Amino acid sequence: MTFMKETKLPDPSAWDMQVTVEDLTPLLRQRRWGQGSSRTRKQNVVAFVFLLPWLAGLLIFTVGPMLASLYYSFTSYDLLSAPQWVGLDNYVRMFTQDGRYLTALKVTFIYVFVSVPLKLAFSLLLAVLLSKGLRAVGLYRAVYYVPSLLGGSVAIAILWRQIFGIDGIVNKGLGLLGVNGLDSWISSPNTAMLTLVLLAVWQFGSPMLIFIAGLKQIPSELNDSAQVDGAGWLRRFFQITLPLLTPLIFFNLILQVIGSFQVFTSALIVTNGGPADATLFYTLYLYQQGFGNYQMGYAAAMAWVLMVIVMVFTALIFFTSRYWVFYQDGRN
Amino acid sequence: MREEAVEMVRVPRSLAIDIFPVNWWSRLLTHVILVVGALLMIYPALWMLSASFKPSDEIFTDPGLWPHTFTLENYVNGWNALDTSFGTFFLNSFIVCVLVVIGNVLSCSLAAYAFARLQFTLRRILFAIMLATIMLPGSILIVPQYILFKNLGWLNTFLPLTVPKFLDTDAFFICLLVQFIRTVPTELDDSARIDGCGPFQLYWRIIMPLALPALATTAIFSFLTTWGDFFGQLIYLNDQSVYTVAVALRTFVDSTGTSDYGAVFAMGVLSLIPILAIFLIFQRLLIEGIATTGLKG
Amino acid sequence: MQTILKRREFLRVGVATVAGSSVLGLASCGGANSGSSGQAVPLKLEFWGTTERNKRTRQVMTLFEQSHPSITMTSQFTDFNSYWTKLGTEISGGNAPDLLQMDMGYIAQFVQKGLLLDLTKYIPQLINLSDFDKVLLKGSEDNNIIYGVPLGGNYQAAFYRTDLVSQAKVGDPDPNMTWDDFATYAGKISKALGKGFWGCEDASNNQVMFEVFIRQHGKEAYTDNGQINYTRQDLTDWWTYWSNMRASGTCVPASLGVGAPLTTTTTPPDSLLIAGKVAFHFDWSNLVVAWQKFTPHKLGMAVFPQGPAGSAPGQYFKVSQLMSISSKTKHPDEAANFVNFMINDTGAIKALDIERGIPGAGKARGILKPQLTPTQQEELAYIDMVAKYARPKTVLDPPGASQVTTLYQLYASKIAFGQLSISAAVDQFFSEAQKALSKKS
Repeated sequence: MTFMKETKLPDPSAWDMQVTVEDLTPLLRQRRWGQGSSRTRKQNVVAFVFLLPWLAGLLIFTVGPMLASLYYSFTSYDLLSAPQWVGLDNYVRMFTQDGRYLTALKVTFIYVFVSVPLKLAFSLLLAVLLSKGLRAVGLYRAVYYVPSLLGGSVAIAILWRQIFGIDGIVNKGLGLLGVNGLDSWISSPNTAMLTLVLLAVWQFGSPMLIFIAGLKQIPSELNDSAQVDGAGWLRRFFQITLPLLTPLIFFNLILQVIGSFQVFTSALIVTNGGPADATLFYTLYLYQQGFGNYQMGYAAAMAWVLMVIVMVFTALIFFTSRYWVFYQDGRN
Repeated sequence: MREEAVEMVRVPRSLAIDIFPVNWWSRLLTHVILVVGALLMIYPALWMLSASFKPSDEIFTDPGLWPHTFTLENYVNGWNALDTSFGTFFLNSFIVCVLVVIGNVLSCSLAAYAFARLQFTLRRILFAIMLATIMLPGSILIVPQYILFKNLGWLNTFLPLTVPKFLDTDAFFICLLVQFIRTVPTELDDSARIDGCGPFQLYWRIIMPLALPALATTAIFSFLTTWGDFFGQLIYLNDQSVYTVAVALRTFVDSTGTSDYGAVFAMGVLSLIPILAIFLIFQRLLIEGIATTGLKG
Repeated sequence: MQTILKRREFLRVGVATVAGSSVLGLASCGGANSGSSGQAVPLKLEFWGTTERNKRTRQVMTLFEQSHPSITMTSQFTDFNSYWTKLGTEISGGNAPDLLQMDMGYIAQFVQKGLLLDLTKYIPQLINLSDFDKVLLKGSEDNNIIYGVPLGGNYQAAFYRTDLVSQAKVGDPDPNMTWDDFATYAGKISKALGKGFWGCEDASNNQVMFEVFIRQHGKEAYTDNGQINYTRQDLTDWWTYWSNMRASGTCVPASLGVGAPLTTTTTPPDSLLIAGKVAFHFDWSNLVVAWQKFTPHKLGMAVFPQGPAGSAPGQYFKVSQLMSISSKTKHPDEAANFVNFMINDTGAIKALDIERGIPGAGKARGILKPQLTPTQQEELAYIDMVAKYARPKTVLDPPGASQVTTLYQLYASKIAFGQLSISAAVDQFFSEAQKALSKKS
C-alpha cells in the first residue's frame, strides 16, 4: 500500500486554523500588486458563493434544528397538537422521575467505557502486528477491516442475535471447547451487554488502519538507533512507538467516544434494549420515547443532555491531551 | 517538510517499526495468531453466507460451514417474502445512495475549495464551526428535522435523506478534501490565474481533477454510510414501497410468524454484497482514505 | 375530547336527524358508491399480523375492488409492536391510513386524540350490524360510542402439547384447576419430562394473564377514571407465584422466559411450545390454527387456572381487533363501505375465516361453521366451553395503559433475573405506573 500525500503526524491544534505559507501567499501577492481591500471584498463574495450550499445547509439543517430542539426540550409535544410550554419539566423528569432514563445513562456509560478502550487496544495491537513487512500483510489488513465495513448493518445485527442465541454458533463453538450448558447470551441481562460490546470491538478495523498509517510514519532511524543502543522490543514500543502514536490515539479516541455514545442499530435489533433494560442504550430510549410514545419534547431534552455529555467528554479528552499527547515537533 | 515526508515513504523497505525479533519462529507465531484472529473476525459473516444456502430447518442443526444440503430456496423465498420484492428495496437504496454521493461530492468540494484556497474574513471562525459539527450527536437534530420535513410534506419520500446532502454535508468529508487540496501546489493556481482563470474555473478545471482520489474517497464513503444508514431511513420511510434494504430487512425479521431465517440471511447476504463489492474494487482508495484522514487530523 | 362531547350531545338531540341526513347523502348501502364522479378513490388499509393474515386480507381487498370498481385499495402490515410506532409516525406526518386496525388497549388513547371516526352515523345504513353479537359489540365501545367494528372475538387460552402431557402421564388439564393445582400439575410434567423440559412458560410478564388473575378477585384491572385498580398485594401474590414456579423448575428459567427476545416467545416457529420444550403456552384462542400449522403434534386448548373456590371468573371475550376509520380520512363513506364488506360479504367472510377470531356477525358464523377444519372446530368448542369461566370486561384500558404494560414487563424481568426483590419491584412499578397514567398526552 502506498500512501502518497502525507505530511507530519496529525496535530489537534489543526482544529484551529493553521496559517501556512500557502495561505499567506495570495495575501502577499495582493500586497505586491498593491490591490487592497477591494480585492478582499471580492474574495469574500466569491468565497460566499462557494460556501453557499454549505452555509445554507448549516443554517437550515443544523443550526436551525439545534435551536428548535432546544425550544422543544422545554415543551411537551406529541406531534399531533401544538407544543405546550412546560419549562424545565422534561429535564426534571429525566433526572428525578424516570428510572429508565437513569438506566439508559448507566448502560450507555458502561458501553462507552468498556468498548472504546478494548476496541482501541485491539486496533493498536493489530496495527503493530500488521505494520511490518509480513507476507500477505495487505490481505490481513483487508480481512481485519471487513467487519468494520459490515458491522453497523442491519444484516449483521440480525446475525449477531442468532449466533449468540442458546443454540447459536457461539455456544456450539464453546461446546467444542468443552464449555457446555450455556444459556443464550442475548437473553440474560449480564451477558446481553457483552454481545454488544463484542460487536463493537469486532469492528476495530477502521481505527486499526489509521494506526497503521501512523506507524508507517515513524522514522525507522529512531527504532534502529534504539536497537543499536540495545533496547529490547518491548521497551522500544513503550518509549518510542507509543509516544509517537499518541496524536493518533487521541484522534481515534475522540472519534470512537463520540460514535459509541450514539449507537442505535445494534441496540434496537440485537437486543431491543432488553432483557430487563440491560441494553437500553441512550439513543434507543430516545427513539422509544420520541417516536414510540409521541413525546418529542422529552426526546429533544434527552438529545440536548446527550450533546452536553459528549461535549464534556470531548473537552476532557482535549484538555488532558496536553499531558499525554506528544508531537514530533515538540509542540505540546 | 512535505518533501521529506514523501521521501520517507519512498524508502524501499516498508518496515517502519521492528517490534519483534526477526527469527522464523516468531514470524510463524505471528502468522498463526493473525490467521486465527482473521478467521474469528470473518467467521460470523462466513457463517451467515453458508446459512443462506442451507434449508431453514437445517441452519441451526447443521453447524458446519459447508452446507449438507445446498439450496437456493432462501434467496427465492426471501426475495418475495414481503409485499414488495427486494428488487424494489435494492433499487430504493441505490437511488438514495447515488443521490447522496452526488450531493456530497458537489457540496463538499465547493466548501472545501473555499476553505483551502480562498481568502475571506470569517474563514477561521467558519472552519472551526465546521469542525465542531463533526462532533455533534445526530440525535439532537433528529426531532426538529423530522418536524421540519413533516411540515414540508417530505415524509415518506427520499427527500429528507438526500436533499440535506446537497447542502450541509458531512464536515468529515470537507475536512478530508481541504487537507487534500492543500497539498496541491499553488503554482498551478498561479499559472492558471495568469491565463485568466477565475476562481470557479480554477475549481472546476484545475483543482477538482487533481483532487479525484479524495473525491473518490468521499464518494465511496458516502455510499457506504448511506447504504447502512438505518435510523434515518427508519423514521422517514413509512410505506413499504419506499423502504430501503436496511429497513426492509428489519421488517422481515420482526413480522410475526416469519421465522424463515434462511431467507433473512439470504437477503442479508445480498444487502452486504454491494458494500463488499465496493470494498474489493476500491480497496486502495478506501484504505488510503481512512489512513489519510487520521494523519491529517 | 371536545369533539366527542359534541357528538354525544348530537346523538341525544336526535339520532333520527343524523340517520336521515346520512340516508340522503348516500346512493345505496354497500353499492358502488364513490363520492366523486368516476374518479378512482384510493383507500389505504393498515393492520398488524402474520403473512397468513395478509394473504387473507388481500383476498378481501381484491373482492371488494371487484364489486366496487371505482375504489382502489392498498395495504400494509407489520408486527404488533412496530405497528404503533409506524402508525404514530404516519399520523403525525399527515399520512394516516384510511382504515386502521385497532386494539382495545390502544383505542382509548386514539379516541382521546381524536384520531378515530365515530362510526355511529354509518350504522346501520352503511355498516350493517343487525345480527352482530351484542356482547362483542358492547365490549368494543369507548364511552358507549362505536369507534371500530370488531373483526373477531377470542378468549385467552392455554395451548398445550398433548403428546408431552400424555408422555408425562398427568391426564388432561382440568378446567377447574386452581392456580395451586396448576403449579402441582405443571410441576409433575416438568419432573416427568426431565432436564431441559418444563411444564409451562414463565407468565410473570404476561400482562393478559395477570389481568385474568385480577379479575378473579372480582374487579377489573383499571378503574373507570383510568387508575390502577389492583393492590400491591395482588401484584406481589402474582409475582411470588411465578417466582416459585421458576425456583421449583415448574416453569422455564428467566433467560428462556422473560429474557427471550420477543419473537422467541410469540412466534410459533421460534417458540418453546413448538420446539417441545414446554408443555403449556398462553395465548389467544384464535391463534391456535396458526400455531397448529407448525407442529405435527396435536395442540390442546385449556382454560386458565381458576382462583380459589368462590372466585369470580377471570377470562373475558375479547375483541381481537377492530377495524376503525381514521378521523382524517378523505373518503369516510367508502371506508365505511369496506368495513361493512369485511364483516358481511360472503366472499370476504370466507376469505378471512376465523383467523382474526370468531366473527361477530351471525351470518358469518353461519357460513363458516360447516366448513371449519378440525383445529377450527376445536377452537369453537373451546369458545363454547370457556364461556362459563368468563364474564364480560366492563372497563376499557385507559390511555397510558400500553406504557403501564411496558413497565409491568420490565419489572417482571427484573424480578426474574434477581435484580430486584419482589417488594421493591412492586413498589417501583406502582410509582412509575401511576406517573405514566397521570401524564397528559
